[in-house]
Amino acid sequence: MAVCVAVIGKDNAPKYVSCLNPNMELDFHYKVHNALDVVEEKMSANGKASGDIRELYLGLLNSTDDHKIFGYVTNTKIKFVIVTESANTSLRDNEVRMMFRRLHSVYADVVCNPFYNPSEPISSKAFNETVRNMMAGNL
Amino acid sequence: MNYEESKAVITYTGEGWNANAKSLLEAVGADSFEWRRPLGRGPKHVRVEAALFAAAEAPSNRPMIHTFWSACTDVDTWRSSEKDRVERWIRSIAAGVEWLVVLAAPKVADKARTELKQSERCISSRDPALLRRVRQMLLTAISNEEQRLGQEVRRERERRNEQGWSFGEYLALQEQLAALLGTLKGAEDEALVQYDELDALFTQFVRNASLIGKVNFVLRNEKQQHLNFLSEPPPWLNSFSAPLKEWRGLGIDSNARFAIVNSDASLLQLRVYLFTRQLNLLLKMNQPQQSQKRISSQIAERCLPLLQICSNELRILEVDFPEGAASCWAVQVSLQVLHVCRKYPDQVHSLPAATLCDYACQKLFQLGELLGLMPGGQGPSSAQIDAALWLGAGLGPEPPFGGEQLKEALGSPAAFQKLYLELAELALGTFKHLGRSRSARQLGHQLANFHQLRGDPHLAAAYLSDALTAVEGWPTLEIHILSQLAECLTGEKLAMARARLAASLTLELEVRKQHWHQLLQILKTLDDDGCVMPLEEVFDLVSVTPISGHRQQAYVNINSRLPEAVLVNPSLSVQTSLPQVSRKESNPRGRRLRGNFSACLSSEPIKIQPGLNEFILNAQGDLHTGHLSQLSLIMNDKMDFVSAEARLGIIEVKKGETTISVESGQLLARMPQKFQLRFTAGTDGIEEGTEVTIKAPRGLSLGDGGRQIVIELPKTEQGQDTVVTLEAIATPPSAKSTDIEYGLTLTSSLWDQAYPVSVHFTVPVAASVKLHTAMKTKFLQVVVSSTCRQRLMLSDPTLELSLGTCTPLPISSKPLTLDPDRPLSYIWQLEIEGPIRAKFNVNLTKDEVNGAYNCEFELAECATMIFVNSKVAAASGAEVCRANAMCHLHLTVEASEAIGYSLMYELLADQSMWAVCGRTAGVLNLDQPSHNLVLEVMPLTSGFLPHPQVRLSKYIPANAGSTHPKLEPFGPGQVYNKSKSLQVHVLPAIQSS
Repeated sequence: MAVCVAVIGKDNAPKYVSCLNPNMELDFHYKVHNALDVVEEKMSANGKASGDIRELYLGLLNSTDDHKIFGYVTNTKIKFVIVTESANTSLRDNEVRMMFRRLHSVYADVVCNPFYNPSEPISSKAFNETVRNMMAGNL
Repeated sequence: MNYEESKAVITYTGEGWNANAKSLLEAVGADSFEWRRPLGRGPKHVRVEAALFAAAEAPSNRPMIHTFWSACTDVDTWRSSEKDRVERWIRSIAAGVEWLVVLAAPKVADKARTELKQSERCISSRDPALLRRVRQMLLTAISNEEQRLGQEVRRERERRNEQGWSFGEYLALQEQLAALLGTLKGAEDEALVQYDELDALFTQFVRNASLIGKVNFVLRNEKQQHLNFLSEPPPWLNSFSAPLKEWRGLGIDSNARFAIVNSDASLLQLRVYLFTRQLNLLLKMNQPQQSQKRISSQIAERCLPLLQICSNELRILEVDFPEGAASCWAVQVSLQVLHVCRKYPDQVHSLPAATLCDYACQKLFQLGELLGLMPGGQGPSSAQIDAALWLGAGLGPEPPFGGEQLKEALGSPAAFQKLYLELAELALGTFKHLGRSRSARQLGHQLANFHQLRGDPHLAAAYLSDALTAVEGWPTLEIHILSQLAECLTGEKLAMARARLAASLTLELEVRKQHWHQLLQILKTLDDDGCVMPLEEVFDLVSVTPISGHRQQAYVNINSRLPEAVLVNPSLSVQTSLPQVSRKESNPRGRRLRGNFSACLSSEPIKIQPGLNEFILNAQGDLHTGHLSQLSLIMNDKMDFVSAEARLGIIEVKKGETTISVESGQLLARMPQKFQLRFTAGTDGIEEGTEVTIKAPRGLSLGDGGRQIVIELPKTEQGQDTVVTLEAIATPPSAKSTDIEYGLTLTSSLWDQAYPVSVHFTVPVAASVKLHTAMKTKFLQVVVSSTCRQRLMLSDPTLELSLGTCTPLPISSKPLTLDPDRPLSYIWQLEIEGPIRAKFNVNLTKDEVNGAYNCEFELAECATMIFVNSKVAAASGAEVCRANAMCHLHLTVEASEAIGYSLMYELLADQSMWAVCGRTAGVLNLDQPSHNLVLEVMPLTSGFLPHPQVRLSKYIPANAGSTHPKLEPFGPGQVYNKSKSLQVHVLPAIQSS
């Protein structure tokens, strides 16, 4: 399913980046980082257009020959980015949304932990486990 | 299929057809017209163009209307012959086809309308409604044809999974519909929809094919024979898996269409064909009166997904092609689309165009590497030249939309590099313009690689530095870019880059060490100015704690991220006045400046270890008041790590006197002890030979034994210390408390008043005495215990009595060790009479320092006067004592000599063991030396029971002065109880059955 999952903080610095293939980590870091341009664009466009109800799912941010990059932003400006393989043609938009919702919920669990300092990178085992599952395809 | 070929047709016949009529009909397409359509689709304004044909030459299979042009101008002729001709003509027209009779004269037209009963289809050639009528009919004809084709397309599409269905044939059919719609000016979007549908249908087929392949693969692998394999992809799709022989860019190629329809085309041919059609339609729609912005932006926007889909489909369908052909094709298409976009100024700098440009750059870069066209190399090898020729040939002859640059670029590295730079700079500029800073900088990063290969490290460094700013907060990326940047830099900047790399914790320790050693090498080559670098890049300033006063200090805590220890010269600037604003302005962006260090705290060079370090900085020379501002660590005299200017704390100068502190361990009383007085010089320092008089209180002797000494101090700078060692013996007056404070008084010219200092002494040991008696013999035990929690040696214990003699038991002269938790005892046998005073002396040794301890005791009258003996025996008749049986207590009281008073005895029995049955107390008159008494007691339980106790006191009967008799206790040792601690064996009671 997903080949890379990233959580990016309010200040656009990464809080969590995990890739299915550790050899491609640098490549994915660049991809995710680059997609932030589109996230910012979409956020400012969303901010202008809508009132109270905000769509958190930003949809497809970028696509390359090999990968598709999707985005999601919480109300506190935490960005989630999921990279999938373009070859995976059976992946539906709704499934990507589901992954994001799932991610959001585990992220909320992480920040609810009183011992977690929100300015630090995420190192929660439960979060890691969920992300691993997402990447293994058992959502 | 050409639009010209699918134009609607107007046939003409009759004598009335002439040049006038022709020009009249040619104006049909001049004006737009509302087209109402069935099935709830909204009306559209369209223009219809039609081709004119003589009735005999008209092509079939096209939307068509027939016209009959009559030349008859008078009613009589109409009636006699023309009417018949017209009627014959009408009958010859097939049902459902529109027709129109055009009559030369209005009156004939009126006549015809009434006689033929076709008021709508007969019209005078001079009637202004003629054109409208013709357009209406054309539209009706086209609508009918559209509906017919639409139904056919839908029917065919439903059959798409049946055997024998072919995409090529279907495409031909839907293209007819598209072409028909294409003839209507203003309905191009409808035509575009047809191509979009074809596009989507094909995409779906390929996608399904890939899924089918995957599922079947899994089923086969798991040997799930009982499950049905999905049906294999349709055979027509196989043609698209054929190896690529050419990879032409956009352009309509009639051969390609023929191949597509006959299921003989390559994947790229089909894609290119569909996209070219779409592109043409978009360009047609892009007329000024249309809302062109929306439409034209689609051109570039549609291109990138096409390229990506194709790249994917080539993979899914496992199409074979020479390496680089797909990239070559993608670049070619991109160049063509960009070329088209250039015609629309708003397009060249649109986001889709920039993204496409960026994409083309990536592909071009790959091609360049493949074909050896990148700068810096040795140029293409012969194999690479062959490959380039082959790839160039695959592009086909003369691309129609421009894009000949690619062929040229494949042929020569110079042209290639020019093309690459052109594209990259165009994309970069557009990204920047549109605010896509990250995309721009990432592209800049690639450009930097390119420039580095070209041997232009300065330009590369500029791009990389820019890229570095974009990735702030992304350690992995920062390190990656920084490592590349280090390759492009020299001198000062290189040193800084290496230092940052050596300090980046995300790298492996070994790599960091390499950077570190390289840094040390570079520093050797730097000139004397060295370089200034922000401290935070390498060290974390954890805390700065200023200590104000006459001795200014600052405790600095830093965390070093360097892989190895480093020797630095530390200094901490003190800002004595407000910072000048002008300095900030002159500070170039990103450069750290060393502030004013004329006032600073510093120290000798110190070694900073990796990790946390704490060091103390001292004021050198003059003192200053101000804010601690910048920390500077200078390494190898070349590299200056300077922290950002900040207010790290306030440090002040305080006028101060010389202060004294006492430094000592635990001081023991009664032994000569040494302690130190630390004189810390105040602001004025201490003059050479300053005299200080020290007075001790009573009980403390200083030096040689006096209570006052005078010392001379050496010259001491402000803030520096002088330490004086004193020796003293404390002789506390009593041993009541173990901790004694003595107040010393110091007088000198250093202070206006006497300076008090207190010293604490601890009494090392404490002694207590116990008197023991055996009949008439007396023993004295002295217990010595440590009170100072230190091990001492005790020797030569002596006991001096005021009266009588004493003998130590046993007689030993060996010194004994006194441990803190193990008291020592000395015993003497006493030969004394009457109350006496005893003085105990013992020598103490601790760490070869000798002292003495003594204490005095008072001993009251203690000679034994009375002996008591008691015995419990069974009552007469019984042999043993039993519980609950009466026993006798035989009590014997003897006086050692006659005493002149009576005695009171009391039986004190534990009531849980003994019941006293008769008397419990009585008075004895000791006029005879011995008394025997028998008292009755009963044991309550069995076992070994302690004897009931007997207490004796002096009994003073009531007589002169007091109305009540008085009891006086004996002193210790005066009554000796012979049966003390004896026990009686009591057997259980006999059970009376």
